[in-house]
Amino acid sequence: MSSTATSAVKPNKIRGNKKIFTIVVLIVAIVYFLLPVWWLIVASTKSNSGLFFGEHGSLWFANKFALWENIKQLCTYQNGIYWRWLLNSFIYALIGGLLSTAISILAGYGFAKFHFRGKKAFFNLVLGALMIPSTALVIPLFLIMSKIGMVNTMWAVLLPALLNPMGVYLMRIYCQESLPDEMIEAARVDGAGELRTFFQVSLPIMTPAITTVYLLSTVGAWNNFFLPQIVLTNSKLYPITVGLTQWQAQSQAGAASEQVWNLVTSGSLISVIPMVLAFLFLQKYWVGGLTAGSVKS
Amino acid sequence: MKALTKALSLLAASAMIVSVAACGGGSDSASSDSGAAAKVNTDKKANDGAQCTNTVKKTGVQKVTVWGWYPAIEKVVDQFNETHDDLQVCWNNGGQGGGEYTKFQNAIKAGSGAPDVIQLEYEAMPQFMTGTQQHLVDLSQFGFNDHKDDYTEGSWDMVKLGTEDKAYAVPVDLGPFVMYVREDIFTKYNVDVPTTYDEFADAAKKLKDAGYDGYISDFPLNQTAMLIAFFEQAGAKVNTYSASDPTKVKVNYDSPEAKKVLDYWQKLIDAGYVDTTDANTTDWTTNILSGKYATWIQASWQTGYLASSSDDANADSGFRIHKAPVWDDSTPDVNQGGSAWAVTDQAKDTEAAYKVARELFGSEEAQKIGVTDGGLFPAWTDMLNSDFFKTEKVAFLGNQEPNTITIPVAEGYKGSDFLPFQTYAYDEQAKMLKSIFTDGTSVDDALAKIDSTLKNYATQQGYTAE
Repeated sequence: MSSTATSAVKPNKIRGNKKIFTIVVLIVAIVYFLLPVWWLIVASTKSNSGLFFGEHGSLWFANKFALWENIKQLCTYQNGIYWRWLLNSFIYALIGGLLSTAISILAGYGFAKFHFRGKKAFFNLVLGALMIPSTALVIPLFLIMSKIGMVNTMWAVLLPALLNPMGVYLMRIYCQESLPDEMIEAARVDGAGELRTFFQVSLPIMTPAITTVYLLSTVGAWNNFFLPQIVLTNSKLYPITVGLTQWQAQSQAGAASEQVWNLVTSGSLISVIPMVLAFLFLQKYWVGGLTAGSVKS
Repeated sequence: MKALTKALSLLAASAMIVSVAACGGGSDSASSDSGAAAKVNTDKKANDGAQCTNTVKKTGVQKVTVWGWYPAIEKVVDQFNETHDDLQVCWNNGGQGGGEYTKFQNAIKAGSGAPDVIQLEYEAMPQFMTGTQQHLVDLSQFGFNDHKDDYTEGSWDMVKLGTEDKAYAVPVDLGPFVMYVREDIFTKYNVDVPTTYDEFADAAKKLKDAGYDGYISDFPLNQTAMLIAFFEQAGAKVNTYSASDPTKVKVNYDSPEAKKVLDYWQKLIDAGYVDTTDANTTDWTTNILSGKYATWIQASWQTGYLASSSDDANADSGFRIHKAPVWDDSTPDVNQGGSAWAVTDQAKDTEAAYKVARELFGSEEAQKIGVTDGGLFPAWTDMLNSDFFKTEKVAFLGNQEPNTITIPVAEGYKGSDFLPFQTYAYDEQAKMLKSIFTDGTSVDDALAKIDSTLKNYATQQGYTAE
């Protein structure tokens, strides 16, 4: 971080009372946010009956530690379809995220650095798209896709995820603020073509924004639920969200039900691990990015 | 380009106005135009590229697509595919109950994407057989009526959907309404197990007086088909509907019989003898398995649910199945839940779909998978009459042979009607129960209110309501 900033502006001293208040608020916030996570960790180690009759309540481990058994059951239940769902989620999230980030970069860069007819109108169109909740488009999408025979294929989930108005918007703003026109002009003057300018001058500077957009769209795709729920029927194509929901519904139904609560909890725990890892590994690019553009030298 | 922006905002604004205006008009789901019967198709190749969750056993054979969520359905499908050379089943799980129905509705809107054969609960069938929306195929045209005696009277009545001689689905399972009794609790407090509702009320008091700190039973406020079963026991027929006159519905909650049922439970709940925890929730599961309820009046398929939630599904839980309490000698046998295979109007080869619907559970072997692995209560009379089923012992019920109780109930059951908007009616039912038991509305007012709400809703939807 910039040491000049801290030495130039002396931070205000926080007085005793206020400090305690701050700490209390923070502790409340931590409990509020981490309690569900803690519950999930505890619940994933319980068997079905442990979930209902755990000796030490729902926030502490039951006497019988069943996490390994649950994971083993995840490997065999319905022929281990859980891992297939996890793989599908990876495909939807990684490939979908990658492609949608690429499109956002190109579109955002174009909006920020080029002048063309209808630029403002098109950008307003993007802004307008930002206002429409994607859930509202699911049924129309379903109808269109079933006309062209794309329902019940991976494309039905991947294609709509490629356009990410939020990503385009963020990219444009970032390019406008952090990528000086002078630099691009300098590159052009030095004889670089448009492509070379883009790849060797602009793209490296955009890395923080790219990471941000990539994370956002990957997380979005990983958590995507409603669209795959509607357009997919073949359970081999389900992402993890839809699959776990199906197991939960199956456990809850009174008639003809199979109780797999233990698989729902341990499956949920495993399914959040990749996202936690993604944030941990990508956060250094991310944090650097948010501050990089904010200080004008 | 300002013009384009302006045009777009204008478009957005007018879309808003149109959608708001649309709220004024009713939907046309049941307009008077009486729909033609669902059409019959004969394309044998259309499913060749269909994606299946199961592995189809024989290649190069005509496929029929199926959506269903029965437990152990995959084994039943495999069994079918192994024993058939002319047809192969391509199965997918379209979702559990409501989830699947939404999917089916979407496919209907899209005009494609529905399976050939679909699992529908009896109570869900009318919503796909309304005035202009006839999406289930009448199977009597393929001679299904010749097989009428293969199924119990009640299940056949429900797939007839109120018509004279049509049949819109192949019955699979039922839920005979019985009473789960913790006999050990009754023994411990020296109280006789009740057989009538009068005795039930007495037993409730005796158990409490003897120091039992649980409830004699639970009357969940989120009950759906269970309340209909209670009503039917008392002779209240709250819904009437027929696919032969699909624009007309009859709603009759505001009756002395329905009032009798709610008054009865209100007394027990007010006295603290009966709990009102929502059924099939985690709290409820904990309560019932920890002995907080001495009885539980419910369909017999509840055994599987309880067993799989308990510590050891094969240990004696103390529960035994008894006949449900009766009002008097004339109280009919009733049913709660169950489902059937229907053939959709999007079936690629309708007759082949009918064959699959009828034969999936149409063998002793498949029935045994359903009973043993899936915990289904069959509607198939051959199974009900078999020694295998009659003498089936259930470890969770202390090796009781529960079917000696359940079979006569299933055989005595005569059938029920459901509304084409049954889900909406169930929501209103739950609101009604909540208004009575938590907000203190009188039973009379609550029944009158649900009656008029449902009639208004039916009228709005374009039905003639009575």
